[in-house]
Amino acid sequence: MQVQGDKYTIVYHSETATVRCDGMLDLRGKDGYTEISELFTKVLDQIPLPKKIILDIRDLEFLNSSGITTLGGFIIRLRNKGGIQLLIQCANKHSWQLRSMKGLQKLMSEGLELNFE
Amino acid sequence: MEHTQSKEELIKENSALKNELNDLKLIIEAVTGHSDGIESELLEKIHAGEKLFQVMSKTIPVPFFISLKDSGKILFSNKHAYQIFGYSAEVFLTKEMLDLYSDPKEFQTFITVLSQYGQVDNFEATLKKSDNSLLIVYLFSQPIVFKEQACLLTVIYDLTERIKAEEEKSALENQLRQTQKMEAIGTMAGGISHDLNNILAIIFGNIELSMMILPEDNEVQKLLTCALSAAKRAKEMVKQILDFCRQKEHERIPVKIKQVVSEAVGMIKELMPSTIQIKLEIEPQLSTIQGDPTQIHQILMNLCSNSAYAMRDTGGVIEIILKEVHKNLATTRIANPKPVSYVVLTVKDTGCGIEKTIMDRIFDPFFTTKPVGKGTGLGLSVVYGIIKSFGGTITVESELGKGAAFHCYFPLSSKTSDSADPTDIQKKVNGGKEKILLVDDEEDVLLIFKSMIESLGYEVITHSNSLQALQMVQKSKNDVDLVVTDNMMPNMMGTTLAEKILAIRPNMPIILCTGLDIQINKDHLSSIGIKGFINKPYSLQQLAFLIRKLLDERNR
Ligand SMILES: Nc1ncnc2c1ncn2[C@@H]1O[C@H](COP(=O)(O)OP(=O)(O)O)[C@@H](O)[C@H]1O
Ligand SMILES: [Mg+2]
Repeated sequence: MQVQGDKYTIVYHSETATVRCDGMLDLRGKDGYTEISELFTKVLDQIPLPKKIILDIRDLEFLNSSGITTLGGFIIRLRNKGGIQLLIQCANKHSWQLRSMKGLQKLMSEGLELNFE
Repeated sequence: MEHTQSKEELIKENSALKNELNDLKLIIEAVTGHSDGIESELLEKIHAGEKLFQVMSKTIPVPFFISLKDSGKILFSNKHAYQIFGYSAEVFLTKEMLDLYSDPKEFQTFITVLSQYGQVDNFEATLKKSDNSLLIVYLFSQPIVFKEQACLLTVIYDLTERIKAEEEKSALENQLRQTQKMEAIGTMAGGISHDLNNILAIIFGNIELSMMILPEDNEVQKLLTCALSAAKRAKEMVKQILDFCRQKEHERIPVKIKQVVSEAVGMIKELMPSTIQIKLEIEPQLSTIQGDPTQIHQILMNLCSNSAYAMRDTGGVIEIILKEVHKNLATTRIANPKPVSYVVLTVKDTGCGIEKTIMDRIFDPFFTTKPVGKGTGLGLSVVYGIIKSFGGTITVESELGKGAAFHCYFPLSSKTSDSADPTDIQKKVNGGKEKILLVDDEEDVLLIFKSMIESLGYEVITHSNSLQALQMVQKSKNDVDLVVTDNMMPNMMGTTLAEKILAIRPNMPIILCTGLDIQINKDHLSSIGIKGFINKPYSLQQLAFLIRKLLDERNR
């Protein structure tokens, strides 16, 4: 599964249960993110559901506020499914990721791990 | 049933709404925090970008400025840009692009080009500095967005240095051309001088001979003395011309003209445009000629470049033909006014041909029909000079529209004419065809006696250095039939030379020329094996008699 834009790529690798977000995500509003949101839905509708999902944003340079909202929605839906672990792989070189991901972590007080490299 | 929802259900719904509200709160927090974070990071990047721009504009050694696209107002300039115009940064930033042009029309053209192509490359413009002096540049302009405004980034390439360099180069080229002209005159003068020297040698020889033959108290002696001093003045003049041109008489060596010509043609082929075909035709049996290979190259180059020019619009064929002929040519080479064998080099083209009216001027130095910069008018005069200096001659056949053929005649190096045509001098004495080596340290004497002995039909080799003369005899095999040598010579006395020659060629007839002032024991000379002596000054008649006598004795 993949969503490809001019400046970004979102790919889901089912073997590793990893969603990779690369590039610059600066789509306009909620509507701009419909396609990406649908990809997230498909990830969560898989049967059987993986026990652990990885969100890899190490090469995500930029994310606008509609983007962070979309990610937040994904985390809430994942949490509500129950019993799935989430690991977010982050990069220190994009300094915004630390603060923003800490903010999102509050949405899932258990079972969400942040990893910075 | 909805209104009969149970209390439990209501509580459950309430807590779900609370959770949702909580999530929303968290998301809003996350979004706000995220926005602040990413904003500050972006700002950092912008500042870094600005800083980079500042550093770059200061560092790169290229003048450039940024102006508003519509008004042309200058918004930014690096140091190099405002300095090149002689403005301070502050003043430069009050200018508009139009202010920089010396001719507003040129600015209009710039704008037209810009709107047509979206950008401008290599636009040559004459700009105006703060002191109103002119600045010739190439402009390169690209539209950019600067501080959120549509702008133009313009890079200036200053042509001043380049124009200066080009001027220097063309000055150098002029200088070179001048040198070439002088060289050409030199070559030509060299050739002419050679002929004059030959003529003078004959004049000298005959005057001196006449003075020797006539009794000393004869009335005519005075007239001859007069003629002699005039001839000496002429000789001095020739020497001065040669000195002025710093031209020595070229050392001429036997040249295998076949090889030299094919080599030169190979080179010329490389240089010719593809529209011009070169055909080479060489007779298999060719004698060597007396000359200088580089000068033969030069002859071919000059003739072929004229031919190429004559066919520049039409294309065509250059035929280069090399063969041997036996011919009586009316040349200025007095020594050989009879049919002689020559190697002829012909360069023939299918070009525009030569008008009859200019035919007798084409060999004149600086005569050219080509536009300024295309011709020097020296090509043919140099060819003429070289061929003359080889003792040869050049003829031309051409008709307007029917191509041209230049024939260069080179006399052969070893064989002179066999058909000895008796001259006035010869009538009085007996000559021959043998080869005679003449050694005397005074070149002038050599030259006079060479012509005189040659006029008797003999073949003459001369050496002004007795050591070289000896080497020559050592190397050649029975080549020389008789040696005439001066006695007083700096490197080796004539007697010693005779002794050494006789050591290798015991039968060689040798004539020793001695000055009257020197006492020489003739018995001693005879014992060495020297068969003839003659006192200076001697007459040609005396010498001729002695030469013939010794040669006949040897043959008996
Ligand atoms: N092959 C040729 N065909 C026609 N014209 C010639 C040819 N060779 C020489 N000429 C004429 O002779 C003139 C003098 O020649 P040259 O001495 O080489 O000087 P330049 O080539 O510089 O003019 C030329 O300008 C040309 O008019
Ligand atoms: Mg020429």
